[in-house]
Amino acid sequence: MFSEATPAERRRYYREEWGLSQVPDFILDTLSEREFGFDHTGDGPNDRYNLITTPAQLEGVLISAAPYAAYSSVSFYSRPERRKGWRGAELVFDVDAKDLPLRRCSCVPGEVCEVCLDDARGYIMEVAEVLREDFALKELHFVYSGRGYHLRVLDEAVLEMQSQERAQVLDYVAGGVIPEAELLELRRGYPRVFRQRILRLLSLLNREVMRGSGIAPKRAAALLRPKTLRRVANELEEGSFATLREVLGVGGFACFLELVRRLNAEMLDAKVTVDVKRILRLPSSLHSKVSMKCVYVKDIERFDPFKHAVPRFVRERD
Amino acid sequence: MLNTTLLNPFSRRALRCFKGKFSDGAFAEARRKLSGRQGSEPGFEEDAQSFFVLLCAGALRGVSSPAARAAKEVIKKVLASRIWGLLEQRGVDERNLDPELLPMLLEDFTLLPISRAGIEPPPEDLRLLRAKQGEPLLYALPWKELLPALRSRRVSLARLYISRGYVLLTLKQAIACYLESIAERCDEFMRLASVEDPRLEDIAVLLEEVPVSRTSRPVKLGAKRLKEECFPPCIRATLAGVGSGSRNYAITVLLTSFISYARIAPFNAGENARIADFVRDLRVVTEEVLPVIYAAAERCSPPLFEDQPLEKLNINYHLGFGLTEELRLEDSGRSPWYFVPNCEKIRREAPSLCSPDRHCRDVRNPLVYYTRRRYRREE
Repeated sequence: MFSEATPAERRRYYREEWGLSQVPDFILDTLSEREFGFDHTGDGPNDRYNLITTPAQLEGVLISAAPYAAYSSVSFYSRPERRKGWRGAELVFDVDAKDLPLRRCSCVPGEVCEVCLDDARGYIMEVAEVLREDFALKELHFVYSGRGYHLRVLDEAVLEMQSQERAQVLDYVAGGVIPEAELLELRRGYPRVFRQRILRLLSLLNREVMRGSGIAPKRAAALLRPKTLRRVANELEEGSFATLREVLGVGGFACFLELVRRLNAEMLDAKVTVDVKRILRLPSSLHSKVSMKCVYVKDIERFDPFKHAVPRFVRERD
Repeated sequence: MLNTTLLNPFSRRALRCFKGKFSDGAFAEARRKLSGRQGSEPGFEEDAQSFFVLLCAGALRGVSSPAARAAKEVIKKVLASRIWGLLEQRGVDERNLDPELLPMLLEDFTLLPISRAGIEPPPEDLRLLRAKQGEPLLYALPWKELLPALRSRRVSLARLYISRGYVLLTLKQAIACYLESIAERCDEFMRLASVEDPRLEDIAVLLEEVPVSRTSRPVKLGAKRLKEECFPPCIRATLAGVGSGSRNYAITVLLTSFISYARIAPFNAGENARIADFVRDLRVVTEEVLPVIYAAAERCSPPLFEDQPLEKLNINYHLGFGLTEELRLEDSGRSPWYFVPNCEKIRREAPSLCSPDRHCRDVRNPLVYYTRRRYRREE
């Protein structure tokens, strides 16, 4: 696992393990409206503009080509083979465990371990909660991408949104904007989302992260005391910033909010959300670079990539 | 029917009055709207057509022109005054407003009194919002109704109170959101408008005389040597070197465009600009622009050209010389000279570069930050 799949392993995966039943209905039902892309060599999805009209055709292509990676568009077209006649696109949020700005583990950027993957899972669940509670969106689908998670939204309300609106929803769910000062303590709405993002970050903060944020080192050290952090967390749950303001001072508090905003903005890959013609890894396909399956996740709370996304050939490697 | 006054120029009934040509009465009514004078009530058809006259005249100068902006401002002002007028006629103030009234007035706008949306915000929230906004929350609007206004960034989702699929609004906010949705439809209309009528030119001239809000005063400065101390934080961060995730974007897209425009054409470069339109000697590119970009690329981790030497060609491409190793003035324009991306885009593509300082307030593009600071210094 996490080492590249050989061409023989890819062939074995598609012949013996892959099945149409692993492709989610939301893709099978719209095959002929989506563009398909393939990476045959590991250099990126260079084989694009493919039209696949039936499940049997998809099966044939994947089993015979055993691609390094397979992708389908999040967008729907009347002529997908030319990417013409855009009819709409899923709204997608992508959290990549290798790019998390703060981690509980000792992985460096670019690396992934069980802990990072679990953090990515927890985070995408928080994003989904905001979409459900604040935006009343219901058609939410989770996909384990091989090194992170995709959240794909298929409610009719979002399909025709353009990049600018998607960017605004992204800022909202990620906490990418500092709320208005007088409304920071609102129980619901965006300030609640921003507070939740602070709560998640609190346990991951350290001196190094806070260095360069503009917060005086003494104040940063005071905040990082476990007792203070606990009190701050309890107050944030209640919607209060009293201790945080007191410990950091006026200037430090403003710098802290800016630090949170910046870290929040790095959690999700914004390019994926705002691109209305993106191709995404096809659920059920193999992520050959790390030898893991891209899996449609039915129960995100219980999903464990090390149980549900490891191909048989990896288990039998040694 | 509660209301016969036209409050939505894009209602089905109003659109039926747009036949691609306008009556003299419609032009007279458009002039009256522009002057702000009171007059006798126009007939429905004249009234509806006059809105389209304003929009078609604005479109003559382009959708982003001051004339087009003025057309939208005038239309919003007329509609706002009509809505408030109708509410006042019914003796409306905060205490006795029937929340059903506004939704009945505004056609094609799915506004509901909060009570009918089945949402009960916590009392603490209601108190905070009332203290901030000075009036109570009365209305619920499905958030997707705001999409047009979100598209044009006239409304920010993060500044609204959203719960269970609805945006909760005060009376003033509800009217403002309605007017923004109309403004967005004005933009759509102007993008498609193609009416040929010589009388529109006079209206366009009048529109150009309408004062519209500008975000900054115009500045006049020529191209001068770069002043690093006036660079915005994102550019300073890029110059310091960038990590592997954002290297290509930071150097090839952001820094290349910023340094080249800041040095060569800091003001009003215009669409389809070419470096050759501004310089006669390429040494300004080879001796002043490229060394800055290459030095920053070298400071990246790992150095950008070490594993991606082809990015040098890509930089030349972004400068408008096409995919070439050797720069020649006559090749300028072979590819687009990419303009400096806006702050919002930078935040999306490379969030780690964006650490705004106090000068970033009200700035939407790093180049504006640079020119403003330089301008103020020289003042």
